[in-house]
Amino acid sequence: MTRHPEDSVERLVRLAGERDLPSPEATQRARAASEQAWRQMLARSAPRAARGRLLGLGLALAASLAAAWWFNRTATDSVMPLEVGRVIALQGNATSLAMDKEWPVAVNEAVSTGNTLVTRGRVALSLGGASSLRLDRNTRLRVDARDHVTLLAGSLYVDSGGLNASSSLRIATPAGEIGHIGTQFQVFVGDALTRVRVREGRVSVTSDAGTQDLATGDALEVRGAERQVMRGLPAYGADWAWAASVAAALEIENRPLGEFLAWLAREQGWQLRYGSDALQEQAAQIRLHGALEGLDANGMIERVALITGVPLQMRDGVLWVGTPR
Amino acid sequence: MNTSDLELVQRLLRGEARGFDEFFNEYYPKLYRFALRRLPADPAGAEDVAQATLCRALESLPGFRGEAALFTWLCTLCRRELSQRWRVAGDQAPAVPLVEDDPQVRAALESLMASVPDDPLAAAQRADMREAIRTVLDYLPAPYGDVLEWKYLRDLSMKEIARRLGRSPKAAESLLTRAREAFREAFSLMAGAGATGATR
Repeated sequence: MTRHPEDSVERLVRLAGERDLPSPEATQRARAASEQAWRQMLARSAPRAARGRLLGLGLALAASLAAAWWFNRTATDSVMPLEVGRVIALQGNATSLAMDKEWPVAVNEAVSTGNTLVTRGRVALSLGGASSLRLDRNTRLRVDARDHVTLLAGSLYVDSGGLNASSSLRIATPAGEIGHIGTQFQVFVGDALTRVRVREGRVSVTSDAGTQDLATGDALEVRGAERQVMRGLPAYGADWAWAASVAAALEIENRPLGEFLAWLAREQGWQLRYGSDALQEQAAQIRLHGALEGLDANGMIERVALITGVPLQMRDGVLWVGTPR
Repeated sequence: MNTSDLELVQRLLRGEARGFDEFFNEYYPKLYRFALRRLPADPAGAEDVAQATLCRALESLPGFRGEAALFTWLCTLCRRELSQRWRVAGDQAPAVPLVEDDPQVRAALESLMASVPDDPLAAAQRADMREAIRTVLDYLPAPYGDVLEWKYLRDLSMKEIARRLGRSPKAAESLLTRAREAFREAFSLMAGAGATGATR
């Protein structure tokens, strides 16, 4: 066989240029349609597979042995749905899809691999024992594994629980796969746009175009081949409010004031600062009692300031305890 | 059918979500390009045909016997979708034969085996050459086509390619070598079959 010079392959590939790609919108449509066809096929083929196996065994083995064999075979050959998370809060309606079945989501319901959550309202999940995921209205999220989800459409907020938390969760989107290091961020997938915005920590978005690293206050917008990075965006405000609104309520009974304030600041994307060391110490000593359900963030601040006598005020994204320095 | 095809089909039949992702990410763009070459003025139509083909394939997957490579089977389904589209629209299939529709070329691409012309570059005009190269890249086993593009078109480092592949740099280097070899053989075969003047 004739051998061409080593660089001939490079020359030919360069000559051809990039191969054509379908549009992101079409890709998203095709993915949703294909996935539906796949799940319908799985739902149809499961009973047939079971019948085939049992018939084959019926002639050779006693019924009990056949049943035992089939059970073991099914258990080992199939990828059974694994319970990997739980619904922890729900606002309005949402449904779960799996194997061609659809049912309403309820609080405390288990979330398993293969489930696709479809929201009309908002949903908060715990996933993999550590990450808190929140789905905005009109979102479709498929749970692939304990550490992998696919955002098919809509908005997803992730709070991995701080810088020391597990960073294994990965999120597939049309713009690439998103990984992170202990962080809070949100991802939006629309018809033609994918947007990643980092509230705290670090996030990487990996696609054929390369890897884009994002830090606190950064956002990446991807429209087809066009990618735009923005810096210095605030960690609080209307863009983040939906995620805080569906956060699971914090039980405050006997909880130190300082702990509650840290939770509230994290949920809202605020910085927490103390006017003095003495106030910080005091906040650690004061214990809260009762409940704050039904109040928004400002309502909680007012109520807690009233019952503890500790002055609290918001200024430019900072929650001040005492007088601002 | 090669082992990776077989494994992928089995994973799809078992309901593995990541298997679905691999299948979709690998074959949707390839089917799109396959359809686009036959509908060159209608990219949106090519997108629809590729989507319909994938849906049809997934519905029919339990009946897939593995007698051909997975991509070959998908291309057969895609041709049917295209025929149906032309029939409904009252159109004729394009008169210009595509190099990969030639039975000899198709057989060559599918087998990726032996025999070569001396100078493939002389066998076609430049535009045809581009098309031929892109077709070869699509027919190469995954992820050879992507690796060649990453290396030679996007100038990615071997470290970055290794990271994308989830392999060590040494393994990625070895894969690139195999990709080069497979491309060279497939391209030579294709150019050789095309040079014989065979048409469908």
